[in-house]
Amino acid sequence: MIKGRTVNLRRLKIDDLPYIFKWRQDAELSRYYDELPINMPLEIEHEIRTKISSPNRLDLIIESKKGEAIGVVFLKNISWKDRNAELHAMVGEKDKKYIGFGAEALFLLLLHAFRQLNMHKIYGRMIEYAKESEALIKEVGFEKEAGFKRFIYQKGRYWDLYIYGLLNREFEEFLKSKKGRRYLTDSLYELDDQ
Amino acid sequence: MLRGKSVTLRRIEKVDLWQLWQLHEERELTLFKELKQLISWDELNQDFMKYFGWKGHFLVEDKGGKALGVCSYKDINWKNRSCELAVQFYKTEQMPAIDSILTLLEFLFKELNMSRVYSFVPVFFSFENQAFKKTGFIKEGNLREAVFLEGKYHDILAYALLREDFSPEEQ
Repeated sequence: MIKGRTVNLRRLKIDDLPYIFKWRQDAELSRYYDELPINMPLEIEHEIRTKISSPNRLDLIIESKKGEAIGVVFLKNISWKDRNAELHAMVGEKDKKYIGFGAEALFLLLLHAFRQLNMHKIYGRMIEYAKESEALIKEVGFEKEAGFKRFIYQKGRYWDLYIYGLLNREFEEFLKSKKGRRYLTDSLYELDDQ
Repeated sequence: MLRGKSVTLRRIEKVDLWQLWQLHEERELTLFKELKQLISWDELNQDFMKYFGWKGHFLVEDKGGKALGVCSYKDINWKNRSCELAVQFYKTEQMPAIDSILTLLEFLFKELNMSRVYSFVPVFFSFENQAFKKTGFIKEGNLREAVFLEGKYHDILAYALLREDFSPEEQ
């Protein structure tokens, strides 16, 4: 488990099916991930089983300190040779008290990816209207690397998709900055063996 | 089989393997993904379906039947009507390369009803980069240090072409 100040990250397990299913049924949320909110529990279960056993993924559940599951963060398409991976984060619970939890979860996963998994680069995709997420990842030092014109079709029209990338050395720069140092001490980052 | 002006695109058969294998050695490409990790001829034969047994993978030949390279489309998203296109050429001749890209694009836009075709090309494949620019693809970005080869990281360039910008006559 990866422990933070306000959240912990733990591995996804098959018992998490009800949460994942609930979040994936949320029409508003699913717009951000370009998925359709019409899944069957059986499909999701199959997905979770495949994810758990894949060496190119790391799926983590964001938990509040009380142990409530509030979202997921994950790395996919991990390329161990090129040392890069695609980052995704989703806070499924919309309760206001969870504001800021997503940011810490993202930060913890980045720390884990760069400091433990020895990644060289982490990248993410961002649909054009995801302004909040965009601001968040820019804060950590992500740079816009590409803008894909008319990539995603939703609500009767096409939308652009942006690719953001963060290199190891840029993240280390961020950790040295005032904001980064605050994040680091606030997060009480530690790894435990379980 | 897809027919262009000077090339044809057809599915790869097992009998093509030896020819591909030899061409591959001539110009270092990443056709066989594990080649860098020393795959054997036997392994390649055994895993034929893994490498070539998926729809959308074509051998490019000139009219005389000589192999020039491979091109493929993958990751079709039917909702967004987009897919990725990849090409690798053994012979760095501009005309057949452009022709084969245009032939495949014609198929993707006019038969499969795609709205957007995109491609990712490492910077060191300068011939392929040129070919994409010449066929009307727009460079949409530069994925920094995304691939590791020969001791260092290289950028990957992102290209895309929208259906309304596709005009094969102009090329």
